[in-house]
Amino acid sequence: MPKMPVMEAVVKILEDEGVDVVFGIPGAAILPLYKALSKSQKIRHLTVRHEEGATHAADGWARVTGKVGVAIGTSGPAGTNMITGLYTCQGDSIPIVCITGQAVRPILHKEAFQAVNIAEIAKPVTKKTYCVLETAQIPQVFREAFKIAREGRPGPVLIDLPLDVQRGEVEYDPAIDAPLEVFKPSPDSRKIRRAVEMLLQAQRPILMMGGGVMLARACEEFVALAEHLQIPVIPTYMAMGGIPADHPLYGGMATSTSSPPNWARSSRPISASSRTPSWRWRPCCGSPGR
Amino acid sequence: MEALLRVAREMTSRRAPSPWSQKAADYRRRFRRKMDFDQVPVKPQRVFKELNEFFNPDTIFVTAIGLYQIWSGQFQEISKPGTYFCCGQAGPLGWEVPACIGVKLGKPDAQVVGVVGDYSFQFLLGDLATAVQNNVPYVLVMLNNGFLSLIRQPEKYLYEMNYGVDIGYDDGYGPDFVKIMEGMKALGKRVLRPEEIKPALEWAVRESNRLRVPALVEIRVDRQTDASMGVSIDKIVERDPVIDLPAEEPVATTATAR
Repeated sequence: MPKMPVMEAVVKILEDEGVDVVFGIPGAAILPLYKALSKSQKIRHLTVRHEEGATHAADGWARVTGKVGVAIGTSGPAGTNMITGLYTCQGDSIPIVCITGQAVRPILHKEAFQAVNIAEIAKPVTKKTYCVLETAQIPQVFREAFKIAREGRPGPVLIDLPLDVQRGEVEYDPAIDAPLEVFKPSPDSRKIRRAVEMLLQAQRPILMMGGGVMLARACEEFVALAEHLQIPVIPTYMAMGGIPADHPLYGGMATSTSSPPNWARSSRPISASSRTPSWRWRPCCGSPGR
Repeated sequence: MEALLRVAREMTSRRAPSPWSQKAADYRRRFRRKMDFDQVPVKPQRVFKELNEFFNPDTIFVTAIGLYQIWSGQFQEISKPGTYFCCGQAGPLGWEVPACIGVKLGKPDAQVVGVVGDYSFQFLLGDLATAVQNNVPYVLVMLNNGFLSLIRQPEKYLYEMNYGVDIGYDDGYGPDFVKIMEGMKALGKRVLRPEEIKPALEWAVRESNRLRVPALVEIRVDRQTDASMGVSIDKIVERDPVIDLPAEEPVATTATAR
């Protein structure tokens, strides 16, 4: 098995996971990763002006490509600056991986300069966080992080890497490594049948299209369902564009126009949005008309 | 969705339009909000009329959080999946400037347009330098009202105050955003009149793509305009003129469809 600096293995994994651009800021505690990154022919790095910007740029990249975005920062405030971006991706189900540097292992508990427990801080706004304390575990952790970011409801993952762990070497052969398989659940046919029955029985049904339909790239199927059953569609903000604005079944976005729109009286809203909008104080929107 | 569609097709043949399903198009036709204001300062609604008319359906829009984003949701016509990105749940101010960079790099051939407020723009504008340095072109359309207007509105109607939300100074519109852009070695143009919007958009698209840097169109809008909101969908309060058209007589196709 070939031996290499572990951060070179990480860069090979990033490349293999489809990453061609990363957003970050170099710092003293993450330079082994940057050393490896500097040798990559496939990955472009943009030095952002704020780590929050790195997360939002990775977020935007992930939204438009459907791949897992990557943001990089050093230890301490770099990670805390990423929290807003992690939260944004958690809320909107966007897969990104944030990589942070960390102080060396022996001083993690000593309130050392720019050493903060980012893996704990980021937990509530991520699907998973790691602080990797063993060099040999790093390749597997990265594969797992990309899988978790993609799987089920997508979302953010944070990997914190103490500087001494980054400096190690591993036995790694990219020829026998690949992205981990993502579990794809199949729906329970009884529930599907019941949902269709409910739609068929409803007097005033409405289909609410949420961001998950966009993430699943299932807008075509959704609109075909609406057309087959002749049910008006109301998208959430996250699903804007999921049904064309001039489609006969487009009911405007999540509500009213000028007069009471009567959508409130719909007897059977079926939601493809797992988190129906909570902004009830401004359920804005509606069809504009020119 | 595949399963739902398959089972729906098994359980019923394609249904004909019903009076209920036709309400969607009927409501959209009948209940409108006015957009074609021509006053100065520009009414925010007019900005979205111009955006709808100027940009083609492949344009990718990026927007974050504020009255400008609510107007965007109310007035913009978006017709293709993956052409409208909004940070829906968290609503982090400042999202647009860096998110536009990521979107543009992820889809280099697309025309990317960030719709921003004056405050959200100020939040993370440092990354304009990132875009200039790395030649990432996109257009920013700013609705500048010199307020945290999404908060001004509930302050006014729910708390009867106007406190801490006025961020305008000098002439009420705050920083010289054109100079900020130029200071970053990006591009900026200020618009004061509605008829100037379209030429400014043309300029921004052309020059940002030619010079491979972001271009801002700052539109100074009426500072006091509020957005239509309400506590529930049947209690929306309209603050500006609406256009209510009469219902048409039931048409023959409806009858045959039933």
